[in-house]
Amino acid sequence: MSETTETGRRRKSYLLNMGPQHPAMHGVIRLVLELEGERILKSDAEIGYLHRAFEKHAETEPWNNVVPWTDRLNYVSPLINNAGFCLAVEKLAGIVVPERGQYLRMITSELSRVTDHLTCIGASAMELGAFTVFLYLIKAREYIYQLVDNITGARITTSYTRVGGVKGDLPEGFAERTREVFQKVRQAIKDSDLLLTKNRIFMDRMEGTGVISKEEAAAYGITGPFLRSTGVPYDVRRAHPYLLYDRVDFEVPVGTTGDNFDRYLCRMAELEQSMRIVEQCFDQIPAGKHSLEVSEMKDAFVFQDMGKGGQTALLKKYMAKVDQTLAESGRNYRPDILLQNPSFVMPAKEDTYGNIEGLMNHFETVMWTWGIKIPPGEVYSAVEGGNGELGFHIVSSGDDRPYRVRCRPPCLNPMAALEKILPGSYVADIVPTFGSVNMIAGELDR
Amino acid sequence: MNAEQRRVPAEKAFEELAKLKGEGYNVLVDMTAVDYSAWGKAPKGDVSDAFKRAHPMECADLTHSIAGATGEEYGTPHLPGRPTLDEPRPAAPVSTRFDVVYRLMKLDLQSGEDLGRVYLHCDVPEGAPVLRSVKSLWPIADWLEREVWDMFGIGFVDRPDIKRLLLYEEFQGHPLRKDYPITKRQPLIGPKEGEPPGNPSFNHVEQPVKYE
Repeated sequence: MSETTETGRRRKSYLLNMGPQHPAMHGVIRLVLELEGERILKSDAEIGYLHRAFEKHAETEPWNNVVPWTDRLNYVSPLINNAGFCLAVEKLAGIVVPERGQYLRMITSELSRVTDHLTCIGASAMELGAFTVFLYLIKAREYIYQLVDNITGARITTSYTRVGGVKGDLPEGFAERTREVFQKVRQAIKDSDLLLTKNRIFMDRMEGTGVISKEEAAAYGITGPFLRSTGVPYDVRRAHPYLLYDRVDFEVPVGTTGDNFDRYLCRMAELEQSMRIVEQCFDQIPAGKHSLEVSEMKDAFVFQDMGKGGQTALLKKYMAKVDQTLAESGRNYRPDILLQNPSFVMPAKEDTYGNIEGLMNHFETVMWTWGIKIPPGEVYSAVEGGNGELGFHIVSSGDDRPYRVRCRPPCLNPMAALEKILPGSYVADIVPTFGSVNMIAGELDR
Repeated sequence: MNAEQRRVPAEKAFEELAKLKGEGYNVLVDMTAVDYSAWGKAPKGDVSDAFKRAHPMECADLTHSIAGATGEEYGTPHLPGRPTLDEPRPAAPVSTRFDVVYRLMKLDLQSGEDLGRVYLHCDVPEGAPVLRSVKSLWPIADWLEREVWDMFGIGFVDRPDIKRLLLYEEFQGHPLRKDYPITKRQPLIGPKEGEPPGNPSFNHVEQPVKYE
């Protein structure tokens, strides 16, 4: 394409496809750039390479079966998605999770936020050449993934929440282990901070690039660290406290200029705030019944044999010896973390195997069209995801499955704003800007 | 999350939204649609007894208030202070097929406070487009409208050549419509026979060009 400018010079521009096979585009985004030399005149993002029909699938399965799909939305912070979806369903049903369950959701959400920010900072630093930082931060993230693994049984595909509570309780000694991990994470953040924050090369790439103003960010509906870097302290946890966020003390770090460097600083500061929230949760969380006297517990197979042998009257006296992080296990501590309403939650496994009411109740919740039923209506509920306001718009027709689920992906907005941010800068500026968007394709394309 | 719910006819949506923009609703949080054509119909694999079984929540006397009332979203009657805001949709057939929802927020750019939200619902019929595009008010509407078109086939009067957002141009149908079966297959796409090899869909290696 060429045009003649007023001075008579011929200006020649050309089109360049950046991605989807470009490593900095994470393999899932295509930017169609109109370039003049290395300067960007126009940019057009093409998305949808990872579309998996989340919203369509959600209409075909019972309420609790949607939870595993929410793991795949923002796969770097799946626990926030789990909590966000279940909170929306519970808001529609008008049910409130027991206090300990709410604290557990908060703890896991904040652990997920730490992994999200660590990944974002590490990956964007790596894309600018700081490979050491990437290794430091991903190692720190792995420690947290191990904690998540201890609670949920999986590093990434967590599926931790249920409508009415969470899957299982914390493992023993979790708070102490978390404090130890946080020491290592804080050390990794400190090291990375020393390597990056006053690094001339890093600052040259980050400062003054990808600038967006407050007004533009608001017009594009941007939330999360991207908005806070422009100086707007909007945080869903502060503006609309959900769970028990009004009981913990945390700061909302903001930037001033809205460039990539501010976004990096915001995320670095939020890491510390998230860890503070987790530590406060451990101080505040009501004690759960972690273990029983050995005399009250029996091995699961003994328990089962008692039932088969007809000793059912005794079954109510004993608990099965199972790990407390397992789903639907442990009659003793379940009331702390899960709502005890048979219309919404499955009975404990001791009851399923131990008495006829529990067995019937179990089958009623898993049978097709008999599962939990949410009253008809429509609801929008939002949580603060790693990238901003993660909203779920849910319509129920009173069936055992959603009529419509809409996920408001927080990284869609900064992606759409790239057409505004990128023109005028150079091709090399795309890498830090795109990195600070923290585009997660699972969430963007759903 | 307190929000005021309003319902306007689709023809008046743009005026209403422009008015709200003027009142300081500077953020379009979300825009989406719901296809109500299958409302009240039993899901696939239904056991009719299951529907006859009275559920405590279904038996509850849902209190409805007229559209335009203030308060939180649809609530349940046993929790006072959470009024129901819009009457549940009647069983099919409904007056229009689609409900398009705009979620607006008044965001204070200094304090970061959410000063209020309005959820605007529009009844949109199937067929010729009636809604006007609001991308001149909020630029994010560009992508959100593309997604609504992509997923529901709801067009916009002043965007006749609207492009899909998530799916590819050759995709047949609009998948979030209730009459789009979940098992539907799409035809394979690729270069047609006789298509020149220079076509972008053709996977070929460009020959080096001689410079003069």
